[in-house]
Formats: sequence, C-alpha cells, structure tokens
Amino acid sequence: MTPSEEVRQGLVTAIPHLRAFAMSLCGRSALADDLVQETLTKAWAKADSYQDGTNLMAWLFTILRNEFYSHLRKRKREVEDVDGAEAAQLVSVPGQMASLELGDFRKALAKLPEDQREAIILVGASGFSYEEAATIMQCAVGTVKSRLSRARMRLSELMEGDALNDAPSVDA
Amino acid sequence: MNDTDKKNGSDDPQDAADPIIGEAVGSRLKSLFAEFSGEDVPDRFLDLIGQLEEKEQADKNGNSPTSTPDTDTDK
Repeated sequence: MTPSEEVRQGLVTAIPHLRAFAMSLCGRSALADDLVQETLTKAWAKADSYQDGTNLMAWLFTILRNEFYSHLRKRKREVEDVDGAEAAQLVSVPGQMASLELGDFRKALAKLPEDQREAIILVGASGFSYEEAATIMQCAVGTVKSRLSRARMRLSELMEGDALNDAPSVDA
Repeated sequence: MNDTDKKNGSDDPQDAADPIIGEAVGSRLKSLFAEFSGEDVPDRFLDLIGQLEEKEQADKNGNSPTSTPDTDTDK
C-alpha cells in the first residue's frame, strides 16, 4: 500500500488542524498529540481506503475522533473529569490570547458533554458543514443540529453574565 | 482537498456565523481554534511521516527498515 501524494501532502497540511481539534476535544496537549500521532499512523496504514478527491480533512477528523472515543473507553475514569479539574489542566501555551474572557470560554467548553463539544467544534470552529459533521460523528444531520443547539444553550448558562447570546462580536 | 475543505480551520472574520451557534459563541470558537492551530507543529509529527515514508521505501525495496515508527507510545 502506498499513500497517494494527495494523502501524504494532506497529512502534513492537516496536522495543525488535527492538533487543534484534538486539543479542543481533550484539552490536554500531551494526550492531544498522542491522538494526532495515532491518527497520522492509522491514516497512513489505511490510505488505500481513502478515495482521492473526497474530503480528506473529514476523513482524518473521523479517524481522530474514533481514536479519542477509544481512549475515553480505555481511560474513562481519567478523562471523565469534566467538572473543573480537566478545565484546570487545559493547555496554556506561549502566545495564547491573554483574554480572561477567552479563558473562561475555554473552561466552559471543556465542561460540555463530549458529543456536544465535538459538534460545536466541528461546525463552529473547524468549519465543517452539518452534513460533514454528521458523517464524522456518525449520526444524523438532525442530531448534529440538536447537539449544536444544546451546546450553545449550555455554554450560555456556563458563561452567564458574559452576554454570549447578545454580544454582536467578540474581540480576538 | 476539495472545496468543502477550504473553510476548515478558517478564522476568516468574514465567515458567516452558523445560525444555530450564533456569532458570539462562533467567534470565540474560531479564536480558540485559531490559537490551537497556530501553534508550531512539533517535530515528532514530521519525523513520524518521514519514518513512515522510510519504512515504506524499505518495504518496497525488500529491505528491513532502519527504523520503525514507534506508534505504541507508552499509553
């Protein structure tokens, strides 16, 4: 099996996006990088199952998502921590936005149930369509929309007072 | 990449907010994602791809690879 040039180049191009998705899902950079490594390795091994010309990024995100849930199943107790400790461990990287507002948002995001968090990341941050997100999450489009709606409501509750619902825009 | 990929990871402020997510949440999500995706890529990933290529080439030539990617990290 030889990965096509499209896949090989696509893997390199996708790394920053895969890392961002992984960090958005699990917050911890060490685990996130492990997930990305597993994703790259499996994508290389399964390259013959990828059809050139289709959505490579969605294919890679699907692999990473599956790795994430596989990890959750293996280490459920460790990763199940969604009530504060996980948020406290969220990565703090040099050059990150110093905004307390964004930090609070990050913590709120970490408290969402996994299915809601991945839905809002895929559509709201990664830019996938509802249909693409449904394919990645292996669910119906309607399910994606309902998860998005619940995620927004939950974020608004968690960020109460931050005017998530009525602020026209947020400074970067 | 196809056309549907072009907006992946985009932090283009001109991207319309998703109607369900809303502009306020959407802009924060994009900022957060841009922060993460803007980080330098660790060498380990490019090294990994190099190792995979090397192994593949060695397999093609019927030789044992000089090194094998360590995909079973101490998880």
